[in-house]
Amino acid sequence: MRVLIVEDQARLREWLQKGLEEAHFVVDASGDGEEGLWYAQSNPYDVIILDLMLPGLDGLSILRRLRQEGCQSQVLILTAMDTVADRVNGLDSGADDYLVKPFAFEELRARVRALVRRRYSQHSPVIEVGDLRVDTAKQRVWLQEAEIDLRPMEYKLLEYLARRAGETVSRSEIWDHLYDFGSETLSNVVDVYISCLRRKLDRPGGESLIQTRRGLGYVLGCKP
Amino acid sequence: MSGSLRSRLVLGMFLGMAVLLTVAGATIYTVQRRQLYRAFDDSLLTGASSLALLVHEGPLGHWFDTEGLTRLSAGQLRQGAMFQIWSDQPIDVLPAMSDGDAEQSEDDDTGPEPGHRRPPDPWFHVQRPPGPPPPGPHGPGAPEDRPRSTTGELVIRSSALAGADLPRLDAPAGRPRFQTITLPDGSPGRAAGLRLQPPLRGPGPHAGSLPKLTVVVAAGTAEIEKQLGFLAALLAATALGTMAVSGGVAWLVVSRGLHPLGVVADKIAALDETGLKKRIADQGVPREIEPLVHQLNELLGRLDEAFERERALTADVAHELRTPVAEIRAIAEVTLSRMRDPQEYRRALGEMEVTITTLQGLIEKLLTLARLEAGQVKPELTTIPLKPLVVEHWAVVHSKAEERGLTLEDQCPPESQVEADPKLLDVVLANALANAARYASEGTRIIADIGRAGTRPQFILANAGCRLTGCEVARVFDRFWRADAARSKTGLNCGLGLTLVRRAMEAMGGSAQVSVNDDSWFTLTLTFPSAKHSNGTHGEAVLGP
Repeated sequence: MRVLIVEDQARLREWLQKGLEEAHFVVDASGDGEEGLWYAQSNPYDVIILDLMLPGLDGLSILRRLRQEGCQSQVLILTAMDTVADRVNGLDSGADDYLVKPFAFEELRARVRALVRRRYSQHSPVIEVGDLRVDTAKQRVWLQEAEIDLRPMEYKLLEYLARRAGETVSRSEIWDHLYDFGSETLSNVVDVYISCLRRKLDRPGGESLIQTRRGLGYVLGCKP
Repeated sequence: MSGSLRSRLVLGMFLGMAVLLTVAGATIYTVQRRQLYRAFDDSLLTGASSLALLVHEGPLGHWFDTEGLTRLSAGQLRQGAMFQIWSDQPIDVLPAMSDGDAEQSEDDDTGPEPGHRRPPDPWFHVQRPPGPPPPGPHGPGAPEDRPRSTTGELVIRSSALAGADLPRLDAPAGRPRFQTITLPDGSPGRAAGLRLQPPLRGPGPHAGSLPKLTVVVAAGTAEIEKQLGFLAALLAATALGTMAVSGGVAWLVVSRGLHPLGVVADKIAALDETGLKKRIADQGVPREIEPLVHQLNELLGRLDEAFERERALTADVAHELRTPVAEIRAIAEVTLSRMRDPQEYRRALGEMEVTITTLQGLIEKLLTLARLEAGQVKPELTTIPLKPLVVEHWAVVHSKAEERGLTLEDQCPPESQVEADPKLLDVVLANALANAARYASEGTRIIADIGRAGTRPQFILANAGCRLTGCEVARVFDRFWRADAARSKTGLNCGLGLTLVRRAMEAMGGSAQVSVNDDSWFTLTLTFPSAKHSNGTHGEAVLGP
């Protein structure tokens, strides 16, 4: 799941990025309002964490611009402005959540996970696709009753496919949710991870959980 | 209750009423007493005149008509009156009565009106003159035992006097004299004295030598005193009743009159620090209380402004403190979320230290500002050379300024000096130079110079690259003020620095102004007190470390 942090305090930004990346989010970060807007317009973020007082362009202006342009990302305002009027103003400008500094990092992570669920219209943190069960809160995967051990990249790919279960997901969409803005594009890396997942999830001789739609992409949990 | 306005007003009205009623009662009593005694005196005088008319002229001389006494009406001689008559010539008393013996008078009853016998009159006596009766100038036929007056000696008096004398109130003829006396029985009384000649009634042998009589009539005044006592009691009772009623009425009136005060007090009592936006309605408030309500409303307004300022400061302070605290907490929580190698912990602690140092600087600035604004800083002005201090404080920001390609062009003459408090001057120069180094355009120069406004020396610090408008420049001294909601990289994001500069200058009796010219040069002008200026602000504590 891909997250953008727009926060002008460099140390806070870096540590937020580090913490969220360790929680298997793909994170971009910007310390400038205008740059943050450009990031948000250029990439399909699931969640945007937005400070309000920013150099260049303030957070509320960024939010309004994004909503005018039909941006579907969930936006969490993270600010030191704590009055009721500030919260109401932020939420009414199109924010989905509002968290006041200082905050517990664990809470921020939980809120981001909740926003991701909302982004994909899900309520439960556990996604079940056939015999496959993905616990997005604990970030663990079971096939029937057996837990599957996945590497971080494999988990990120499976969670994204599970959230969009039944839909055909293109390679570029998968790429956008696996790698941050600075990563170099490698043509076959998605196919490699799909193969790894199939090896761990599929029974020998059985039908694969992840179907290939030639020329379109992949789909999880849908009969061919 | 002594503090109660109602009690004071009621007590005042009550005492006023008491004084008024006492004066009125005393006046009524005095007037009534005077009138009663005047009427009493008049009746005594009438009696005296009537008695004088009983002296007749006869063929043997003058005689006193005792029988006439019985005919005196109550209007002529007061009931119970006592009298005593002196004459300067011998007067016969017909019918005569011996001293203290009424029975004897019957034998002597040979009055000029024979045949007219009347019962003996027991209420007066004739006092015989001492010694043998003088040879009568009254002609023959005068009985020797008939009491006769010698010159001024004949005394006819009421038997009620029991032989005692009334005071002989001699007065010029025709003018009465009055005197308060004690009657023989010890009761209070009053006497009227009249000196007169009895009127001539027809021709007679003694017409030419009418006796001069002194008639004194007295009567007891117990009845008058009783009446006056009753009047006094009535007046006192009326006054007491009136005072009691008026006290109650005053209490009611004052209570009603003070009711609006109670209403206003209730409205004030309903206010607290959260209700300072409310005002006390002056509708229906009496004119006398309106100024009080207006003053209270103005006070509420000032309090509200002060509370608003404090709230704004608290919010600003909270906002500024939250970001570094959020950083520290995020670093700690992310670091602790899993096991890491020592270098990672080391890096996290290092970054926390930097943030904590920033936080400490912010807290110290806030404390200094709070002390300056609370007037707790007592500047001690001394003469300080300015140039070495500028060099010293520039050295602190020098490395960061050099990164941005900034140079300081110090045009201050070496001998330049100012009157300032050393600690406050440090605050001023550190913040002013840091501000310039932070916001000057990269690669430009910062100019420091000395000027003069009259006798007051000025320190001028100018840097290029300011993009503030006139309105925004006027606000750069506000606490935590920023040009817009977004933090501008190149704007003047002073936070607290320039606020501290101004407050410290004002505390020293100086001032701080800023201006921006057309070439975007931002100039900070610090005006110091002139050399003999006394301390600007007198606080109670010296600026802390």
